[in-house]
Amino acid sequence: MENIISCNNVGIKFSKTTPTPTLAGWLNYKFSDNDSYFWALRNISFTVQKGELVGMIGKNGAGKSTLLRVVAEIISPDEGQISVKTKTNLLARGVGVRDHLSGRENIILGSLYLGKSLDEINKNMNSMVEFSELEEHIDRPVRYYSSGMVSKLLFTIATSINPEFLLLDELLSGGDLGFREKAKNRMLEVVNRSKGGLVATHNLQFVKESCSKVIYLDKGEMRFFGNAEEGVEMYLEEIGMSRKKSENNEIALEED
Amino acid sequence: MSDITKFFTTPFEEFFRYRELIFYQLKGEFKRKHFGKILGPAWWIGEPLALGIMFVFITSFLFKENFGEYHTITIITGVLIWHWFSRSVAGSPNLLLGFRKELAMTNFPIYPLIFTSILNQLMVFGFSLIIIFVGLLISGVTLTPYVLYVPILVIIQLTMITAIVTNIAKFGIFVRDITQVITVIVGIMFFISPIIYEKFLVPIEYRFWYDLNPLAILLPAWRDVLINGVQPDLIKLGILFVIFLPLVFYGFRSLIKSRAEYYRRL
Repeated sequence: MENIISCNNVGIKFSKTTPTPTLAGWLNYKFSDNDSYFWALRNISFTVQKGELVGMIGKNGAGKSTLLRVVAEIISPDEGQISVKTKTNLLARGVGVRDHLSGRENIILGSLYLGKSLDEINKNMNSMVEFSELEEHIDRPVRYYSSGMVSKLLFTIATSINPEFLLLDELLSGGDLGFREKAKNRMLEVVNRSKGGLVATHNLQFVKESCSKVIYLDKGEMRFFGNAEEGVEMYLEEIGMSRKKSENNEIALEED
Repeated sequence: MSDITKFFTTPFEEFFRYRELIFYQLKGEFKRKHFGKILGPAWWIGEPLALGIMFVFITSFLFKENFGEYHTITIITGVLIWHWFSRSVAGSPNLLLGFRKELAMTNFPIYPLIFTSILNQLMVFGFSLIIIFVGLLISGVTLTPYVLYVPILVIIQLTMITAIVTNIAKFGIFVRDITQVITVIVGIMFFISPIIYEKFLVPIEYRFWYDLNPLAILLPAWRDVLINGVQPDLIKLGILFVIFLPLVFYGFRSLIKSRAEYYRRL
């Protein structure tokens, strides 16, 4: 099977000081010792094959979002190489939403950004609004939405397209429990239509049930890459949650 | 397709590909910027118009300087044309920074962001142009066939603005101080451009250096076609176009090529 993403020993470092580009900050970054930056990711190696859905788990600050940005080619690695043989669409919570526009206008704008035509968007508008469960609020400005409503809107936009390869950053955790179940099924439909996906999430149940592989990150290092179930078990053990406890209570797998 | 062909064709291809997004975004931007305000679209040209009227008073009463019969409309035309240039250029360091979230959290394409911003300013100038023509009629200026040069002047000025904006925009991310530097330069350019005075007032020995300022060529050309009813200096305009056109393509390519460096600086 063809590898569409190959990541080989990738490392990303960030400055410890403010990223605002002042002359002093630049000189500090360029000429001072290693203490002025830290490795957000180090020695990351994995591959994704065509048609695979790969989960990415780890505590907050583990490097999940950074790794997604590397795959999306909006950060270039400081060491190692990455090869991406597909067009990727990265979607994260709270982005692409313009507060002054209504939910409907945001659906149009977001979908246009993701490469859909106005004709297609208008044709699918009703089903998108219905899926988002925001019928009553869809023509109100988004600044009046709750964070859960924004998550529903974003997830709807993100999954209404036919992406080649979808990169999702924490979008599965949005909305209420009923919506999350719907979101899971929708996500699988999208992956079936595409070349695959890489999903950073705290929804471990989703990873176990839907992903073929998992990347487990901890403090910027890759603790595990392989079978999703094994990866989730390892993660649960390391954060001190027993398997038994989690089996008895699915919600316990929702780390958030 | 060769790299050289791509260098020239990519911006056009991207414009065509994202045309629906660009115009939808333009609509959204207008809504955000103008319709939320009590006076709404009046602000599009209200500010430069007020500035223009002030300069008419200053030049007429304080400096006793005069463009002759069409003094008022000459100055207002100059200020409105200048305003298109100054707003676009002064805003260029913040162009990408204004889309910080999109650049940091998605790999949405950059081209539509740039096109939307440039077209936004062009549309505001479109309204200024209407005001200019109304002003010309009120002032009793007789329009001549040379007015047909207006679209050409718009294209040349648009090319110049796009070249400057695309080449400055990314530096706004890397060196924030550039915003202040550009504001100062734009401020200086106002006084070294023939906006509130006639070009012939500049001593002949400085004229060569004075003409290195592209606005010293563009502004008299606008007045030639709109007010004086004579042919503009086509050779100098042609030189401007030939200089700025490749810079447009270079600016776009440089913006896209640096994409992977933006994240760390946002």
